[in-house]
Amino acid sequence: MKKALYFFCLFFASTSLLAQNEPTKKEQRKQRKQEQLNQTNRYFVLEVLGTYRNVQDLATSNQIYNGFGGGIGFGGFQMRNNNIQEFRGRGGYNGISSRAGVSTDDFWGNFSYVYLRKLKNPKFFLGGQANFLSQVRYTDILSNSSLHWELVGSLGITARAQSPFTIPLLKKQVATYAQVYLPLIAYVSRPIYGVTVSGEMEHYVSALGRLGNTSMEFGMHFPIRKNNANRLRISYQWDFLRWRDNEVHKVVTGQHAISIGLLVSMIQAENISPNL
Amino acid sequence: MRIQHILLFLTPLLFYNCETVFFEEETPFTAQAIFDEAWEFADREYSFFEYKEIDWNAVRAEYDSRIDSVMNREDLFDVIADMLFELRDGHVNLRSSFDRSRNWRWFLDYPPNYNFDVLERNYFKEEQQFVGAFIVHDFEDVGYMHYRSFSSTASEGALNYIMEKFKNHKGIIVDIRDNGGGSSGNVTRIARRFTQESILVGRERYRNGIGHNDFSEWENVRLEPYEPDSDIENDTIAYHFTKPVVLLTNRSCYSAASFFTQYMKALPNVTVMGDWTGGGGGAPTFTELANGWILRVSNTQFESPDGFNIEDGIPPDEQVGLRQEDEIAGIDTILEEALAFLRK
Repeated sequence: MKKALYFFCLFFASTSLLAQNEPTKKEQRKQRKQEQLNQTNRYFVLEVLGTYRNVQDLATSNQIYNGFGGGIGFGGFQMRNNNIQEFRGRGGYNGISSRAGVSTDDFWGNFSYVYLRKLKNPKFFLGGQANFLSQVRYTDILSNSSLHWELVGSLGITARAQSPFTIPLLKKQVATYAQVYLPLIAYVSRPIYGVTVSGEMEHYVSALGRLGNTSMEFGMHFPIRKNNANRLRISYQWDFLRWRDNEVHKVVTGQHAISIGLLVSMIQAENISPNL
Repeated sequence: MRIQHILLFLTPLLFYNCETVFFEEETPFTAQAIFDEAWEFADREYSFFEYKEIDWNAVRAEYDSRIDSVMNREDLFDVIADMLFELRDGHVNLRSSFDRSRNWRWFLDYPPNYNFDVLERNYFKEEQQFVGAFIVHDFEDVGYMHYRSFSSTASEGALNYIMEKFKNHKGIIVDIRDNGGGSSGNVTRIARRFTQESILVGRERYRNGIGHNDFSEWENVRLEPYEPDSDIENDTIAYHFTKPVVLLTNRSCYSAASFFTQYMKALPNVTVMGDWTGGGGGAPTFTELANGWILRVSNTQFESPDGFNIEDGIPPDEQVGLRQEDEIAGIDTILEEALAFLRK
C-alpha cells in the first residue's frame, strides 16, 4: 500500500513538472509574433512633394488649367519575406491657371492602403489597394460655379516590380521599383449641376470603363548612411483621372509628383534585405 | 547598371503631359471661335429657351453674319452682347476687363416706385437703426425693416433683435424695393422667421442635357421655420413673427429678391404690395471663354407650388404705385398703403 502510494505521488509530481515545461497557447502566439517581427522591415514615412497639375473640366469650360504646387505625405511601409504593405496619406495644393490667366486654387488629398504578395519571381508583387482621392478646385471669378470637385473611393489591383542595383562610381546599393494601380470599382461624387456652390452632389458607382483612373509610381530607396537602418526614398508618381458625368460634361486631370521621403526604421528584420 | 534600371529612370519622361491626350481641343483665339463658344455654352446650359419661345439657332444665324476675322475685341464683345440680349434675361451677362453686357429692360421699362430719399428725409428722420444689414424703423404700432441687398449677410443676431423689438406690434413691413438680389442663403435665413411651420414654397429643376427641354425632375422646396440653437435659446425672446406682414416690392427686385418674394408669398400671414418683381428665377452658371471673358447664363427654373414660373416676375397681392404728386410732396404712397393695411 505504502509502495503504491509512493509510486502514485512520484507519477503525479513528474507529470506536473512535464506539463509546466510545455509552452501555453499564449506563449506560442507570442513566439510566432516574434518570429514574424524578425522577418519584418517596418518604416514610418514622411515625405515632401513637388507637383504639376493639368486639368480640363468641361463642367467649367473647355479651357485647360495647369500649374505647379507642392504637398506633404506620411504613412507606414512594411516589407516581409513574402509581402509588402503600405499605408499612405498625401495632400497638397497647386496654383493653376488658364492660358488667359484666370487662376484657380487646386486642393487635393489621397489616402491609400496597399497589400502586395510576392510572386514566384521574387522581383514581382501583385495585390490589392483601397484608395480615396479628393480633388477640389476653387475659381473665385466664376461665382456660383466657383467650386468643382471629384471624390473617388476605389478598390482595385496593384502590381509592383522591384530590383536592387548598385549606382556606379558611388557604389551605393539602392532598391528600385515600379508600381501601378488600376481601380476596378469606384464610388464617384461630382457636382450635380452648374450652380456648384449649392454643394449638391451626384453619386455614381462605376466599374472600369466609364471611370478612367490609374496611378503609376517609379522610385528608389536607399540607406541614408552605411549601417543606418533609416532610408531615403525618391519617387515620381503620375495620377490620372478621366470621368464623364453625362453627354456634355467630362473632367480629365493629371498630376505629376516628385517626392523625397524619409523612411524611419521602426523594426528591422534580421534576415530580410531592405533592398529587396 | 542594367538596361532595365536605365529604362526605369527614363520611363517617367514618357508620362510628361500624357493626360493631355484625353483633353478636348481648346477653343482657338479667334473671333469666330469665341462667338461659337459663347453661343454653344448658352445652348447647352440656358434654361428658358422653351419658356421664352426663343429660336436660338435663328439668333445665331443673325449675329454670326456680323463676325469677321479682323474685328477688334470691343466689336466682338458688342456682337456677343447683342446676341445675348435676345435672351431677355438679367442673369445673362458677358464680362470682360472693359465692359459687362446686360439686359435691364425688366426694370428700365417700368416706373421705379421707390425713392430712398423720401424715406430718409420724411420717414426715418435720422431715427432709424442700423441693425446688421437692415435699416429698422419703429412706427410705434408697426415695425419696418428695409433690406437693400441679399449680398449683405442677414445675421441671426440681427434677426433675433428685430423679432424681439417688434413682437408686440400689429405688423411688420419688410421693404425689399430696389433689392437686386444676392445670396440665396439670406433668402431662407430671413423668410423662416415669419413662419412656425414647414411650408412648401415652390419647386426647382436644372438643365442636365443637350436638349433645350432636358431637365432634372422637379424638386420641392420647403421653408422650415427657424430653430434657435439649444445653447442660446431663451424662452422670453421672440424668434418668429407670425402676425400680419406686408412685403414691399418693385420691378428692381431681381434674382434672390424674387425668390424671397415667392417664399414670403407662400406664407398665409404675408401680403405682397407694390409692383411686380423683375423676375430672375433662374440661378446662373458661369464659364470662362477662351479669351478670359466670363459668361453666365440661367441654368435652373423655379415655380410656385401652383406652377407659376417666376422668371418674368411675381405679381403683388395689392398693386400700388408711387404717385408722382405724392413723391413730390415727400410721401411714399406704397409705404402709406402698407401702414394703413396693417393698422386697419
